[in-house]
Amino acid sequence: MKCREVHNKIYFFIDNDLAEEEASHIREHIGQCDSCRHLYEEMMATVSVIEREKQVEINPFFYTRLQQHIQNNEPVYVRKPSLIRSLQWIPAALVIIGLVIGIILGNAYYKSWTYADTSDRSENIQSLKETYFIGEQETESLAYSFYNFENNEE
Amino acid sequence: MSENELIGRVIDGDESAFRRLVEDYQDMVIRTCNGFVHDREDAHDLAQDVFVEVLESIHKFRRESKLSTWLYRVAVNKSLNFVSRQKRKQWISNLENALGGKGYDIIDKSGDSDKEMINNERSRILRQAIESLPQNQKIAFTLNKYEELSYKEIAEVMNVSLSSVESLIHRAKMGLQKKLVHYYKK
Ligand SMILES: [Zn+2]
Repeated sequence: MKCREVHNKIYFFIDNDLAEEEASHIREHIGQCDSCRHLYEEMMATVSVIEREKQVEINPFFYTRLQQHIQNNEPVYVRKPSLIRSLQWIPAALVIIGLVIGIILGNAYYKSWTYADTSDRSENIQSLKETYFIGEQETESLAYSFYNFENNEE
Repeated sequence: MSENELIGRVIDGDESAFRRLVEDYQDMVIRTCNGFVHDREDAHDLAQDVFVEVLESIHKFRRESKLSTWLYRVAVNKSLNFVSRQKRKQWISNLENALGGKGYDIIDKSGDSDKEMINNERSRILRQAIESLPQNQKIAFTLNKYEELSYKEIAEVMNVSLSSVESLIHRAKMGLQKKLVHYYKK
């Protein structure tokens, strides 16, 4: 077996996905080839990080915190989906208005950015940050389509 | 109490039923979020959001799939949104540093032992490799490896066929293998 073949199967070897015959060829090669043995050891150690990281210690006050969270926010127990839904459009509408204004002001903004001295810079970065976060709404709905799509299927 | 009964009582506003639901599923939800965000605190915060959403939308849940399947979906979506927001924040802070000339923050690891440092580095490399996978591969792989879901359960959560899950996970492993071999090959 060549090193290249080992490189193409090493993850599956570590994951015990290979048939015994194939696995034994790899074992044999690793026994003789320093470079592949090094690769195997490094990858094995890296993949086993998953085992360590998947153990999460759960905070015993999780529910208490959740209760506070719910009480401090809107009264979630009172369901008013249609109202909530229509309110949800307001930020989206603001985003669109913001984008349009942003595009209009784009040129002027770019100029001020280019000519700004150091003292103005942090302020400009601040506005950039806000502009950037507008995209959030879009990503949110994109990712949600995965979930909503499935809801419709049910 | 059956799952159906529990859901019915939560819809009726029975707080003890909601508490029961949270306590039954909190470990699962927190672990799932942690598989995507790799941070205990963030995973707890996201799980809080998951249960708030559950409370707000449980009346829309049609009970044709298992409650856990629905919870996994909500948890995965919240986690992916969080990760994409984090990425953008990282981008901004890199930009700020570059423009402000502050330079990148160098994490002080002098307190860590060598072993810890090596482990942190391995963890970083693995995350980066997983993060570089296409989204559906990442979801299938993470649910399988971090949450130990069977391919069948993953198929239900992602609403795809069993063979798609097999293919997604196979491709995820190929992708990770390529990255890791490239990184570690002498
Ligand atoms: Zn070799």
